[in-house]
Amino acid sequence: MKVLIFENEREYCESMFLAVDIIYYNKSIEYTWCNTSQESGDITSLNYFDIILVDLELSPQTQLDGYRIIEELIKYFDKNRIIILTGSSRVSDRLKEKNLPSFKVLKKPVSIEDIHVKFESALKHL
Amino acid sequence: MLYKIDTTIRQYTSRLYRTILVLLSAYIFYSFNNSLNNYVYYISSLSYIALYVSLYRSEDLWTRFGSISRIVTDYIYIFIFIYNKNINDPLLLSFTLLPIINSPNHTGKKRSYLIYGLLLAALVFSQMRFNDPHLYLVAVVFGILGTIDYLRTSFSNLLRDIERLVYEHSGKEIHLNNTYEIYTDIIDKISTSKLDIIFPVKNICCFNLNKKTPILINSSDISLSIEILSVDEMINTIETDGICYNVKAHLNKEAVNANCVVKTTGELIDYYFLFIFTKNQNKSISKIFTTKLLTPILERITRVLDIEIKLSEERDDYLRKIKTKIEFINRATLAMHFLRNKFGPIRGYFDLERAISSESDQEKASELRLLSDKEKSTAMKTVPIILERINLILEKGNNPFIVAELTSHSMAKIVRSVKSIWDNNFIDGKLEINFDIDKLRTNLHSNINEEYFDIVITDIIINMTKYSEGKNLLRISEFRNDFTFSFCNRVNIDDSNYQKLRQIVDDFNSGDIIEIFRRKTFGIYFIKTILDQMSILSKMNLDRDILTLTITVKGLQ
Repeated sequence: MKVLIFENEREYCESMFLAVDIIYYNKSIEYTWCNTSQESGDITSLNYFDIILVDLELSPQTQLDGYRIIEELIKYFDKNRIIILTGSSRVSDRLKEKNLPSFKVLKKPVSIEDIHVKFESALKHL
Repeated sequence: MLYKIDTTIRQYTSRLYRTILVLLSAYIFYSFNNSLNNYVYYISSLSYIALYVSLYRSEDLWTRFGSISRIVTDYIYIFIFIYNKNINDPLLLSFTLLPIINSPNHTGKKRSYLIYGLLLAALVFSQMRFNDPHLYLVAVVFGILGTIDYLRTSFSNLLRDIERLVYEHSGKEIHLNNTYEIYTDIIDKISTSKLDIIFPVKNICCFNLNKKTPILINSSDISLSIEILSVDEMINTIETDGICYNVKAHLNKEAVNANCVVKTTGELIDYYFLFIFTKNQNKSISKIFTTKLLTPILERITRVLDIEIKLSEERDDYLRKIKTKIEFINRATLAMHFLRNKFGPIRGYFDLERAISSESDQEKASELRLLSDKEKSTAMKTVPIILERINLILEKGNNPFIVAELTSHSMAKIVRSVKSIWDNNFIDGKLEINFDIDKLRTNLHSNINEEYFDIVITDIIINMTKYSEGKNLLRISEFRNDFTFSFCNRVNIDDSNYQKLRQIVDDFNSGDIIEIFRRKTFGIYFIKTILDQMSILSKMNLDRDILTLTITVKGLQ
């Protein structure tokens, strides 16, 4: 399974994702981490990932912020395999304000169990 | 309001005048030889009385009957009684002149110049002196007087209307930057009156001078920029003549040279009013109008502008104060986001330890152990970062919600403030006074922060209005110079919220701020925190369905 994660504070959550891989997926997940939108390359060519996670509060150096990344992604990627990473409780309101659909949300700080549940839900749409 | 008082007085004076007219006519009837049949006099009197009784009963009828009709009926009535009598008699002469004497009291907008014509007609026809050449001279004199009077009353009515517009505007809720509406009304009034001939104004601008640079304040038309090319000349001319004509000026970068400028002095700044005309006008006449008649109205507008400036300054001051609070909240919110991320490794470590303890596969367990050790190491690094950020937020100096400054305020002022907020929110709330009013006439005072005290009292009372089921009572009592304010309120009690309310009361009274905060009763937390900082004792009580919050302000001599 290939998972792309847009997250600029990798060191505070990476262990959780690795633990999920160890416990539930027999270390079959290949994680790709991107600090900024430009690190991922052409967003239209990300279809080979099974799941994409997007932190809404990315690094200030990013060309596209979390919302813009999602806006571009949903043109080419199944929204059911996109998971939002955020600490904000108002994320559904913010998505509505930007005319974006609802997504699965992983609240920070993430837990092993939460990650597993969201991954399983996203994988159903593969 | 003054206009209404004036109109009411005139109406009563009008009744008095007509009563005198009728009584005098009766006296004349009995004292002089009458040429007409008696029934003519009886019918005239009764008709006149009946007409005015019905007019006085209905304001609508009075208005519809009109001022000109009233003058005509007065003179017809007078004519009947002076017909073929010797007008040289002082009584008869006075009787004939009564409408002229009463004319300043006229409730019509204009004193009609017709009154002079009717007087002349009454004299001519009653004396049958159609060929008297003196009549022509009298007609000319009356014509001149009537015209002057007509113009005078036209101008004075116009000025009265304008004054009323300004008065009504200043009686409205003053918002920032809406004084220009008065200018528009003034221009409309002038343009639809005879004054338009000598004062054809199309735009009014107000500006002040900041080191001889004009700064636009407002104008009747949309104006974004103003330039005065001859500022010194304008200032000098206004100082000597009171007005300056044809100032070289640009408005919105277009030349506006047919104009005049007058100055008024406000509390804070001088205001210059630029009147822009549709064409050049006669300076002598318009100067009299502008400097003598319009300037008092402009001075009234100046007072409104002064209020606007003060309101604007207060608003800016308020925004400056609130800005620091908003910045603090933003920093605190950002800090919460920051902290949430930093808690990741701490939570992650415990999450991994739990996963390890429940993992039966040893290989997986040892891989998880490696992750857990790494997470623990990261967590230990983030703990000081978290603490540092928390300390920054909680540091008193950074928190604008900490009551920093306490100042002395008289107990009378404190009591008035509480009562005022109470009255504003509970129109039918009860007030119980349990102290000697003379206490408030002494030097009794307390050290509080006025702004925060008002905020807390307002917060308490507004919460009462939200949850009140009635029986609102404010009890103010005094004991050994300390004043106690008890806010009593009936609340809706059922099984579900009784326990919750009970808990709130207990937490509040326990003084355990942390516990109050933990239970997320932020409103109570806020009240308690602020009162504690001002050393104001507070307690709550729940007695069946009556909730009472009591605060005690310490009095100092």
